[in-house]
Amino acid sequence: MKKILIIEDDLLISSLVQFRLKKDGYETILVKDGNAGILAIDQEDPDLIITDVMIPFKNGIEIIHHARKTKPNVPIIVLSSLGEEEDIVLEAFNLGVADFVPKPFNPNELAIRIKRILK
Amino acid sequence: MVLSALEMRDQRRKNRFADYQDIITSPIAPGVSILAPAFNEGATIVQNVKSLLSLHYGKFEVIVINDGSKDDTLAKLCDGFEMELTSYAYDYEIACNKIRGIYKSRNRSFNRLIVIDKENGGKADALNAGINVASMELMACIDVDCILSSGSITRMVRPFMEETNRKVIAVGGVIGIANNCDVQDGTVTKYRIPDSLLGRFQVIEYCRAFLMGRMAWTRINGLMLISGAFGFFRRELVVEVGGYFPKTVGEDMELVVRMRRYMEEQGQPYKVSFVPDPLCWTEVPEDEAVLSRQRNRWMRGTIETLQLHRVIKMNLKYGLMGMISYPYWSIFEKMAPVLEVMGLIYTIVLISIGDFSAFYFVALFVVLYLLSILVSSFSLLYEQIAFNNYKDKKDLNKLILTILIEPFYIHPKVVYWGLRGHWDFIKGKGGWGQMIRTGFKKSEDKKNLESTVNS
Amino acid sequence: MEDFQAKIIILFILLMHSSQVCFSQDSIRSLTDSSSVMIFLAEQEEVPGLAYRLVFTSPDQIKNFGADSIIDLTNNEFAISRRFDRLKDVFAWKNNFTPQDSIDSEIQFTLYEQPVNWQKTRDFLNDALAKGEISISSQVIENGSDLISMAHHVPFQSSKKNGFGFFSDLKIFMITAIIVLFVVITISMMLFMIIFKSNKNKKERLRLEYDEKIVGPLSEILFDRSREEIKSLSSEDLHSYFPAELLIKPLFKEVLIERVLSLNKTMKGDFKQKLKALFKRLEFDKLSKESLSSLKWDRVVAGLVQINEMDLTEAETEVKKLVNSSNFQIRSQAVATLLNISKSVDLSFLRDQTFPLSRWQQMNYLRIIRYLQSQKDLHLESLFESENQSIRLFGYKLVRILGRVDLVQLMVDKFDKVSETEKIEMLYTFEVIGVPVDSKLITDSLRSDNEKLIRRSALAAGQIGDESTEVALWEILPNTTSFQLRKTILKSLKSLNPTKYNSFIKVNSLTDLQEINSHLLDPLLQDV
Repeated sequence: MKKILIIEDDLLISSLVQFRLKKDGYETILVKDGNAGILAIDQEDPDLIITDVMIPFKNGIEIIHHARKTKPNVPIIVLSSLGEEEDIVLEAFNLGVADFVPKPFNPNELAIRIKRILK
Repeated sequence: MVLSALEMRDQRRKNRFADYQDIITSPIAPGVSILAPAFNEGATIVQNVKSLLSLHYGKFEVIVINDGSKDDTLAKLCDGFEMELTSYAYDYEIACNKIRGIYKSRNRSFNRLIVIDKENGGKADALNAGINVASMELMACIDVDCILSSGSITRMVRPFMEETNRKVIAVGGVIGIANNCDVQDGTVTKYRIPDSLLGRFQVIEYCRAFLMGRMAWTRINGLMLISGAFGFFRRELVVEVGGYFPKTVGEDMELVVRMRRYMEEQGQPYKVSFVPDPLCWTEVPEDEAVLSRQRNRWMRGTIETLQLHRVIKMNLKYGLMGMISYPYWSIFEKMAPVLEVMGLIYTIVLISIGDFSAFYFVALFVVLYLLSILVSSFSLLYEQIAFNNYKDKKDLNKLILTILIEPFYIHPKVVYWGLRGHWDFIKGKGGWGQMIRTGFKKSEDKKNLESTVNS
Repeated sequence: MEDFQAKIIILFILLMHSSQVCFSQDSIRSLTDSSSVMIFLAEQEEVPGLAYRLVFTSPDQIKNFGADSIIDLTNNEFAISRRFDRLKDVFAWKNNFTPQDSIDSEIQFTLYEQPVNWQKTRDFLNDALAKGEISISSQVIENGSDLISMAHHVPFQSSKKNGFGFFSDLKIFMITAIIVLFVVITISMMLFMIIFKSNKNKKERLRLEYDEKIVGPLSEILFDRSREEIKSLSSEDLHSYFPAELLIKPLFKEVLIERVLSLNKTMKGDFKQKLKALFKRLEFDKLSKESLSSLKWDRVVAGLVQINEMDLTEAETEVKKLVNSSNFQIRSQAVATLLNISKSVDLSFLRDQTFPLSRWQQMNYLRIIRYLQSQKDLHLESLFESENQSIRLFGYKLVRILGRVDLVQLMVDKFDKVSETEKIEMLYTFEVIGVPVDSKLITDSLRSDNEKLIRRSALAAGQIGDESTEVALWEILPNTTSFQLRKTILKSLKSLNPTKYNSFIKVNSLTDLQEINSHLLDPLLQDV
């Protein structure tokens, strides 16, 4: 079973995504802040990471950096309310994230993207 | 009290409908340059800058000014953020001490960070050096060791965005006391009141000053002071008035007064605003010696600023500032310790010549005591209603106890420190009192200060 | 720093002063005027050397009394009584002797048997008091009739002595009252604080608890049920998700509404529709409409926000009424809501607003306009015609942000007639959109004397300029003193014509030019 790490401070959104991904048979780990996120990347060995670029304690970019460094093969999806033209998002692309999903988003659509990436 | 209550209520209600998430991304929102002067901060600088970089806002830059530190502040920054010397063409638009170099990061994820290395010149001088580099519409002047909540920029920017016909020139914020709180990666996670009485006293005092005092002043648009630890300004205007004045120890107050004065003289309607949300925390000195130096410096800063802008006093041309704010500051802030001591001497003299009724003495004393408790507990009540940071009942009880003993134990000390400030001012002692926390030191412009103040 | 104790101290001094006035009544007096001499003497026993007698100015009046032994009638002009040693005795005698007030008489002092005036007496008394030759007796005159008779001889003066007792009582009473009041206020405030705190903590706990109870069912409803199903959800089904006993609690409703609204913002597509259907199924729309008629502005705004987010189009007429509300918050939210839910509204109502448009409002309108522009024609260009400069500026800004290339030509046509502030905004829009415009616009602006305008046009020149703007840039460069502006101009020149720029730098050894050049070449400073 594939393991997906969700780093998102809004509990409702992450729970919703979790609910949807469970239906597709993924195991999910919910984390609310940057520190826990880094910890989970190191310890849980996820197959895919979904993260916001603005989360408590850490800059989303730092997390992406960390994941790139320690787990270069794990794909990352950025879920963010920032537009694609923002610096920080461009930055995320530079770091080689697999996909970018702007909020507002459709969880079903997100699930499809995840399926495609993990194939 | 009534004024501050009204202002507070409005602010709380407004917050309910504000979509702060929207400000982060909206192209309409102004950009913010965060200016953080650092002097001998090697131990904590990397952590502090990291937390500044992770603030939630779309368009902002962080400018750290290394004010000629004698430790490894610069080296730590270069290591921590992969900084590199650039060939930045520096423009001394506002005069400041010599710039040694401007650094930026090779790593694109620290793109927001600019480090200025300059020769030591004090906090105001360092901020001036930063203003010259700042490229955004607004600038936020902060102490580098302050802990900012991640949403602080959005909150502070709001008054600027609400500007309609009165230009918003500056916005101040509440400063909380971080001593003894749990701090994790630049966010306060658990609030606890300080252990020492001196620390707890300052909690009460800050509540009183920020929640009562400044809220009330904001209501009538008479705010004269924005704390140097956390204030937002319109960059363009700061440049127009010539930046910070490096020769006073009260540069934060001086700048606001000068900006207000400028706006009054230009005849432009303006506003100095204040955001009562808890957004910024700082460690306050719990050591008596350090605290006394801080108070001494505040007092000198106040006197210097008031002296420098004497023209404003009771001058109808300066409107509310001249007729209310300035006299208020002269009497209640500047002269308070002097008046208090004079009152005390007066009372003692009356008692010693036997011409005094014991009953009145006791009665008046009790009234004063109760009044001070009343005001203090009112501001604490505010804190509880508005922020509810100190959730533990034990903490609350301790704070109440502090309120009860404060007038006897700590207040006399504060008065004494204030008097020392007066004395030092008369002696012509300039510059920052050596404060261990920020470590800014400066005493060489004694003469300059005297000449400007006395001219 | 803001030391409120000072205010108290000043109050203190004032109070002290006023009480001081009262205390001074007790102090040793030095006799100054005739009445004080009289009052003083009336209280005294004998004063060695000093005696008193009565002088009757019309002796005829007293002849009838036949008191020859006491009164010396030798003189026809006036009659003089015998001498008394104590002033009290004079009054007593006179009272006894002439009960009516009809007889004119006055007191005469004699010092060592010689008649003297009151000033001499005063000096004598002050002297004696100072030397301690006479002891002061301060017994209070209790006999009211004595006082009355004395008053006959003394010019009227309000008697402070008696009043003091009354006033001091009142003062004590007032101070006690104030103290009690303060104590009561302080205690009740602290009690209130403690109660309030526990309530608030409880509320926060409940919120968290409700939050957790909402997440699960909400996800289930959104993923497992179609929109139609949600609409026709039976009460039973609904209560299996959200228990009925929770749904009647106001706090639970509040949390649920908040959650639905926030999800609506982050979700897309059919999820939005489902959330709206759920909102209506839960009958929250009724609550929203009810709150519009509330007296508290925050509740009205909350209702408007819900109507806006949940597209409750049926509330259009109610919302319309609020557009001209006197409350800023209500007004701007109502406008935003109306813009969203009304099918017929375009931006022309915004054009006619007279009050300066704050950025806050701009931000809110932008969000809605951005969302709506694909669905209906908002007539953005109508903003250009506004009488209100802040609205016109907002119009240009919208063109830039929404990328409305089609409106650029309209702006170009207006360019010559508008103010410099507007020109700056327009140039910025041209620059960002990147459509080459008539280069005359830029060159003219470059030659203006408004530095902000020059700077903006120099920036625009770098992006959309051509040969003629390049010429203009070269032309103004030598006369430009501002360092920042030189930097901007050189940057634009570098992108317009790199060859000419390079040869220019080579032949010019001015330090600031070289500095700017190396700045522009530094890869780390691309965006600074």
